[in-house]
Amino acid sequence: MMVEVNLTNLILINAVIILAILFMAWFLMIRKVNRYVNDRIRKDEIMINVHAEALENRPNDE
Amino acid sequence: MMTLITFILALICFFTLLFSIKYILKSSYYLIRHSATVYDLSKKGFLISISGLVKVGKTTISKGISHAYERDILNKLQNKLHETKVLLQKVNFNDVDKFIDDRLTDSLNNALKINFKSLAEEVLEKFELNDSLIHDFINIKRIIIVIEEYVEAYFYLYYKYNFVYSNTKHYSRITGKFNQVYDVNNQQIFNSYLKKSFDLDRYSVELIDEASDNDSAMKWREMEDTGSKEYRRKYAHIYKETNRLISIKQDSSDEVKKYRNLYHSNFYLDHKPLLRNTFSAVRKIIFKFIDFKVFIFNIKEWFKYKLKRKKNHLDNEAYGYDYEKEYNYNKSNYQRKMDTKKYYYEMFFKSCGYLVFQVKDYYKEDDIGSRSSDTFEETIMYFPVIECWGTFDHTEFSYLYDELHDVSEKQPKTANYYLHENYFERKEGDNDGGSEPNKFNFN
Repeated sequence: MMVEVNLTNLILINAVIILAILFMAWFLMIRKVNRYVNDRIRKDEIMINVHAEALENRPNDE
Repeated sequence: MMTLITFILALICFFTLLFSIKYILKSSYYLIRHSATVYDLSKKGFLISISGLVKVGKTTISKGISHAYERDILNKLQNKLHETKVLLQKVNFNDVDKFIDDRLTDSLNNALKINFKSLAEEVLEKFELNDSLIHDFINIKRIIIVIEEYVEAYFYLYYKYNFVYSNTKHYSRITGKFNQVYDVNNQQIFNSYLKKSFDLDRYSVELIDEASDNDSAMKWREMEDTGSKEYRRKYAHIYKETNRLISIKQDSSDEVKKYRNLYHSNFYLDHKPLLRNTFSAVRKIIFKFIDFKVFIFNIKEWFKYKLKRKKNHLDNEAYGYDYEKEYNYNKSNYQRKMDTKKYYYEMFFKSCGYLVFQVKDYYKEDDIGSRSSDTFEETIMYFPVIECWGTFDHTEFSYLYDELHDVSEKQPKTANYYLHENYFERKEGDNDGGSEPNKFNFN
């Protein structure tokens, strides 16, 4: 038995599924990664500044 | 065709989703294991000894543990503030905090040594509190002591915010500060009292790297009557169970016997840590993509080079311009640029990882190194890479070489393969310090 498939409908349904998957991926991954990266950048900046300050303020070698 | 494209897209989305779920689950797993490690460590003793083989990661794990204890200390400080607010329910702590802030910044001029008792008395006076007692059905507490502890915790949390004393260099990722200088002689409390040189605070972690340098077993006689034994025995009492002492050494027996027996936990390391959760699949995909970019660039450059050669017909030197050189230069430059990119990607993914340590916690110091399973409890500890690596100089004592090298007047000499020095012609005083003439001298 042959089943007729409407190509336009198929593409539309696929597009919706893909969008849903993309949204879920974005929701799961990007937000979490963003938060982590922002936190890391903040901490790394503090570390670099503290090290740079220590380097500047070291007693002069005689 | 359209169906095929959508199918491929769906496949890509599916794998992206799969990857993301995998890595989110993996990262969450390690995060939870790290929290469990912090909790486990908070239940361990106050005096901790770490020993293990050479270059196995003793200092690395000590940094991880000290970060874990810093987290524990932060929790303790928050709890202390909360506890006081619960106990003294009628006091307006907004005003108390403001008063303490004013006193600490204005009159005490941001000093790091505060007399908490007098400050607590001032708080009592200002807010008209009686120095009475609080009974909670188990304990009886004096209000002035409760306030004193509150002031102390407030100061350490909002003003000092530095919890590590170390005799080697250490950077804390949590507080964003370097360690405080740790004078090991502080442990000799009798001497410290007489010399008035005690500078340790509560709510801190004491890190003693290469403990055998200072507390070597050979010095046991010197340690008598200095108070260091009492210090360790009463450690939890002195600091009201807020401090931790971590001592690191290669050989656990190379420490004064009296010290060794007083450790509450004896960690022994015999394996290098494993690096986990470094997003290797994502890294590989990115690297393949970068390699592909380099490949495309090289082809493009090659075509450009060929075209230029063809356009100018003759070899480059006739025109004073070296096309081949330019081609190679561009190629290698781009490769280098991409290598830098790769390096930073790799380091970033590494920095997201966790170090997994397999540690044996011996019940008794004497059993350290023993393989019998009833002498130790094996625990696995998880620490973030950024809290272990990069927070210290792993070759801290390299300055020894610099000092030796600067002083030395000799330089390396190549040996002559065919030259033999006379074995029996020893120099005078080689074996007896020069007091007697050399018996092996045949000349």
